[in-house]
Amino acid sequence: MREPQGAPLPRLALEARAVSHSYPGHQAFKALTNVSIALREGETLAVVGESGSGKSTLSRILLGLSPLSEGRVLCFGKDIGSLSRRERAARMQPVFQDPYSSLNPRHTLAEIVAAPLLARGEARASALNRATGLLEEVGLGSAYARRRPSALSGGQRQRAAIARALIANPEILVCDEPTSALDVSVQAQILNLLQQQRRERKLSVLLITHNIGVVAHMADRVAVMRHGEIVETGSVRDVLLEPREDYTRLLISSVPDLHGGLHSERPWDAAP
Amino acid sequence: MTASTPLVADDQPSLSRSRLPTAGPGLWVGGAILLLTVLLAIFAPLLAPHSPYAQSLAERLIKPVFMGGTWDHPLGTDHLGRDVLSRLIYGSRMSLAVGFGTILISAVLGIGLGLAAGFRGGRTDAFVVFLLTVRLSLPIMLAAIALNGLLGNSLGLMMLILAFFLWDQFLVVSRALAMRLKNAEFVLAARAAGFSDFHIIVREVLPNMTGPLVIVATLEMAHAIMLESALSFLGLGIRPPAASWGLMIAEAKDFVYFEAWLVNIPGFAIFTLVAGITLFGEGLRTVFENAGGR
Ligand SMILES: Nc1ncnc2c1ncn2[C@@H]1O[C@H](COP(=O)(O)OP(=O)(O)OP(=O)(O)O)[C@@H](O)[C@H]1O
Ligand SMILES: [Mg+2]
Repeated sequence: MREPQGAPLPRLALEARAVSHSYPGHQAFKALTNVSIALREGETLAVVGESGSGKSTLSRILLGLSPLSEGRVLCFGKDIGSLSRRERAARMQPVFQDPYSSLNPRHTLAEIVAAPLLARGEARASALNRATGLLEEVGLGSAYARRRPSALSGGQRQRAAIARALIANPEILVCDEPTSALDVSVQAQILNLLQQQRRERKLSVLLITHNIGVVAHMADRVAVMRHGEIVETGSVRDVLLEPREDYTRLLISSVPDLHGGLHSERPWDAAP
Repeated sequence: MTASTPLVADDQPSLSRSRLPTAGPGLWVGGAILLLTVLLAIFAPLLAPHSPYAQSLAERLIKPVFMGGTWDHPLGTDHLGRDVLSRLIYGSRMSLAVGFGTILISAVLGIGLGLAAGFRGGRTDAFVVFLLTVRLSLPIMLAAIALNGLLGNSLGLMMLILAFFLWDQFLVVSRALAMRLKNAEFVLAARAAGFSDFHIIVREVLPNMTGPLVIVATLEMAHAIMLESALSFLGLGIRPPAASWGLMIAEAKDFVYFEAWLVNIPGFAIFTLVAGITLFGEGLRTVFENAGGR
């Protein structure tokens, strides 16, 4: 999973530099404090932390979907404030937690998946065509193209959401707990799909989760968040086997069987 | 993985998610009344036995057929000898024109303000809420009478004046929905896909507001029709000799003691249409509430 020895230092795909964010309100609530994080090109970086630690807030800021009070976000070295919405869309796409609210119930699946193409002015017919193709690629038959989200299960919806994220060939995927709203039996399928697409398309993936098991499956490196701050960053091996922070230890110990069953079901382990 | 999610082997969508709307009889009764009125208005020239304007002093104040009149004038004639049934049929055009015209204008006004307030928040929202407070503090009837007196009366003006008072519910509903939808994940996804805010509002958000807004529209339409009748009754609305149900009542008020049916017939028509539209709106509300959830 590592870069081959002797390769040049990987570029940074997405970088937050000293980002702070407060939600407006009566007592302005500081959701992020001085967060710096770097997603290297081609890697999967997991962000873990308990509920309310600011993971979703960070992901929306990295995507340029909410303003930041302080700091900078760089996408391949360029300040995202200087990029247009379309330019950002071409480079990075989100996969959200809840596939029941991330797909517009009024649109057909083909329209939903084609959105990034339609948004940049591609002809409707060809965009819908490509969307249908991608629906097949993520394991939904072309018959689903004309259906609406209400006809789909959670797992199927999340496949469509992933197809939408992939259709415009972005370099970066920001996934905010992409499986936590799904049945356990479906979670592994979605993670496998993400992993497969990540390899084929050489994506850089920021994967938010509060599931340490998912980290062990998917990630190269991991950052641990607590109360709006990053408390620990490192390779998955280092952080999971020798956590430096008490808090990280606590997170890991909350997963009963990390070193047992999980590793054996890692289909991508066979690859180099 | 954690055991936080229940283990369910089946990943198929449950059938119960595609449910049939359930509505009481109100929806159907109200819908039928509205449809019937629309048909009356459209086919008025075919359905009306006489011209609604033709006066005949020789045939003044003929009683309706159920009070001993003749089939030539099934609902009798008024003080100018005009056929009441024909005026009633043509009058439906006025009521519907005012109803639809008014809500069209007030919907644009209210929804536009509501979306702006809900999406932009902050000062825009504060300003719109201020406008709403001002509007709600104006007594509709008095203000409408004053405006009407000031500006004169015509059908177009009447619709404008009524629309000016009936946008508040559109505003309240669309503002609340906009606040909820602007942070919906599918809206965030549309922004991440690169769509402009205008596109997102029109193509992603508005289609998810139609249900509640249609309900508001029906109820406000009933409101507008009632106000039109009242203003016409006061001589401030539709001008004679045009046929309007409110105007028919106004013209008959001198005869109300001896020829009460002259007032009762258009009164009944107003009541039926307003009640029908209200039933329809309430019925729609039930349907949308039952079909709510995800
Ligand atoms: N729109 C908002 N307005 C005010 N406070 C908010 C808003 N969204 C989130 N917060 C607060 O910011 C903090 C961080 O929220 P965030 O959603 O980023 O956490 P999270 O790590 O994603 O949690 P979870 O694991 O539950 O998804 C929380 O305390 C939350 O209450
Ligand atoms: Mg979250």
